Amino acid sequence: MKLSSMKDFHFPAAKDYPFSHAIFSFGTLMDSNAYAVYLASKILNKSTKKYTKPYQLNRYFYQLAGLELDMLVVKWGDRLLLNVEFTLFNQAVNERKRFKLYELTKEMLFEGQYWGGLYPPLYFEEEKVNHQKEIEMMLNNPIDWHFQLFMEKMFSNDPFRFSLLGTKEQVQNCTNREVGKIHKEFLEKSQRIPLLYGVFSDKEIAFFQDLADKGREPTFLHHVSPAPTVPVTYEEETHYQQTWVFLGYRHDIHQNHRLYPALHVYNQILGKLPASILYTRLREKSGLCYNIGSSLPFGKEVLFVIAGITYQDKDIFLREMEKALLSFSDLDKKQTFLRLAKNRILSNVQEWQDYPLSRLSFELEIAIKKASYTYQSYIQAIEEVTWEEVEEITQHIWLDTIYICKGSQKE
Amino acid sequence: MIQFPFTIEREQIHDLPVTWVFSRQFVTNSMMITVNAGSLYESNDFLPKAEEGIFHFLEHQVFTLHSGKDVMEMMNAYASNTNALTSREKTCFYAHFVRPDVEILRILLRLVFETKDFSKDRVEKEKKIILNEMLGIMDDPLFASFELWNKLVYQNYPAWRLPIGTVRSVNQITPEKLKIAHELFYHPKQSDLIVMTNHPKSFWLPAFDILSTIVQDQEFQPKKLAIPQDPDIRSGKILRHSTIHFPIPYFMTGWKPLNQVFSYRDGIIGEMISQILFGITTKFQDALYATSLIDDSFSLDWDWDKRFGCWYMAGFSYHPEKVIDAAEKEMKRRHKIGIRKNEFALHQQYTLANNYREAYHPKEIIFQLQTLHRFGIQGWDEYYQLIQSITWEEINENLSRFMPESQFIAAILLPDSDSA
Repeated sequence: MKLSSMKDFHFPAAKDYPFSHAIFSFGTLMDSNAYAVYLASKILNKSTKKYTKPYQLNRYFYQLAGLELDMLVVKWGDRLLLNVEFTLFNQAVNERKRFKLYELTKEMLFEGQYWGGLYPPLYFEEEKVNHQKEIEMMLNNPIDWHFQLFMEKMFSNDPFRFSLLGTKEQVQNCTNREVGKIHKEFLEKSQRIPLLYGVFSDKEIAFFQDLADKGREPTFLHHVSPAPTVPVTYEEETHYQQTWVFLGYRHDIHQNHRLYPALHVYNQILGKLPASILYTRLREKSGLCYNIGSSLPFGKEVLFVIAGITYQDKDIFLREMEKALLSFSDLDKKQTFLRLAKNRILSNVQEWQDYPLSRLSFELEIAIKKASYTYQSYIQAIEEVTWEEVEEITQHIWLDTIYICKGSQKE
Repeated sequence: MIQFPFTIEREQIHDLPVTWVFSRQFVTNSMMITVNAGSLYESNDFLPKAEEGIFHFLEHQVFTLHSGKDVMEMMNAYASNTNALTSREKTCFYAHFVRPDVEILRILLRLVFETKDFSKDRVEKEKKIILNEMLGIMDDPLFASFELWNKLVYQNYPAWRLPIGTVRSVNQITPEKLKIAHELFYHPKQSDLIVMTNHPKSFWLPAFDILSTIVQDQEFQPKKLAIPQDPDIRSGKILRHSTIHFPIPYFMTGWKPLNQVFSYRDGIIGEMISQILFGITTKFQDALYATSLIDDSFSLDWDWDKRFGCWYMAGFSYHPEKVIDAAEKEMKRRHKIGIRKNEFALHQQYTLANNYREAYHPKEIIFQLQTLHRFGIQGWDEYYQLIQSITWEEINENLSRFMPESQFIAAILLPDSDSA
């Protein structure tokens, strides 16, 4: 997919900021093979043609003082992303040295000691074992594991449900050749997005554009949210002490909906502000939990609330949650909450000037979703949100799934 | 000549040591009040009828002012991200914001130093919240392992005492005990303030007037943590076995350096030695990965302060005893051959580059500067120069101090009967 221009993807740095940053993102929809892309990325990070052992490659990176490379496979909503991040210290690093890093990265991604359709067997086997242990650790982390089970219940037909790590069986049974094939296909069919912040030469910009132009048009699946029904409740016994509650709400406000900015303000007031409704009512006033918060996952029309409680408080907690969501219309000092929520969002956005990779992540979101807003128009839209719009959100949101992991609470 | 994006000034205002960090570069402003009060002070030497976890509890409770107003709500009005933490030596209250307002500093000063009343109802409600916090921590299989490790490493020094306390001790906390703890510790003479800002000092100075009204005790005597030096009485490897609530065994192995008194220079040397010998640029780590003895859970940590310190590697492994053997062998090998000049040069260069990058993280700088100040390091350039001044010879001279064979310690935690 040819980029019309790199101008839309290149952002100037703040004055006197001595670093440049770049994110190059490969992305497709999540599917059950995501684990193989994750596994392959671990293998790719270990070696190159010249630096055949991890310690050699790491020593080379250490020598590039002033240059940093991170290669991460992440799940954003129902998207699988391989993000390559560069941090470059402008004074210490000239164009020649930068290109050494770019070419090395390109080699790691596309060749990565990948010969005859196989990765180096030693590294493949090593990372297979590591991957299985990582799954084991997830299985034994109450929040991570049960969140995954909750996802599988709530999103049984949606790619959003797929786990980045996959299952132990998948990893145990996969072959070197299969993983290589899946990874190659991922790179070939992925949407490629370059984002630059700071000082880059024309040659560097051309390099990133050329790499991006070889990407594909993204495939989107539009999942229509199911109509509101009675929420489904699942309850599982666990051997953990704490009881965790996962609440999945659906809504119908996509990124180009007129209420999209208001949704973000709503989320702040509900569960993100230091004195949010959830924090104040369920933790401070009722003492029902220590951890509670709400989140809007990337690119999905859902809202999650997750809390750690004691099991005996389960029914009270659920009742208080219902009241909390209905409390918007009765809230004292509505305009104060509105202003606070907007200020918080706008402050976070302003902070990106000090943390440019956060700014680039936001631009990546816009590019992936093909959102109709820009960084500037988003700021303006937040500033213009009214209380009526925030209250209107409550008519667009409904509880879909309740998932309770009952803890044993031994003292 | 490396230039950092801020300048530093120090002074005392109403008995409160203040560090000003001025920067036009940053949009984010940060401030932090550090009270020298943490779990290591929870003993009868400092606090009558001390309960474990009382300073952590106090950290939660002070967020309600004497007037009944909630500090989080007040800070919220300025879009300030406000939080606190309690560690072994200190309790920190900090705020990050992009719209400076003198009221933010005023609220922070009131939060910490204003007289408090602790109501029975609020204390009882807080117990429930903290017990909930504990449940989450207790579900972490590594919680007990760190406690075991610290008890193994330190004999006279209660570094193992965790700030959250125990269920029993938290239930024993009363409003009266909280009030005593607050009066005995939450005072400008027991604290310090860092303000990192893109506004001039004159903007913030009016906030300090509040101290003359809220600070009552002019005769306050600061409490200094006097830690008996942990003697180096052991001689030889110690290996302890225990259990973990997890299906994969866990290992911890490392060293307690000789002479448990550390300057900041010592701290940097200790960090460098651990990374040069066992970090990601070593054949040691490669070999353990290649034989699947370690995985991405592997960590290398240097846990230290002025009067205690140890460093160790830890992780999940199906063959923990082999990892420990490998660490021991590497220790002996390195005592024979030392650290090579190119290994040291690589790490020094990398550390310097990191140091420069860290200087551009406005939210994190205040924590590092507070630590530097505690160790008498005046500014970031002095910190940078300190790293630059360390020599290869010095690193090798310190090898036997930081990795003494007589203080080699290991713990293997096997899955308990519920997990196996």
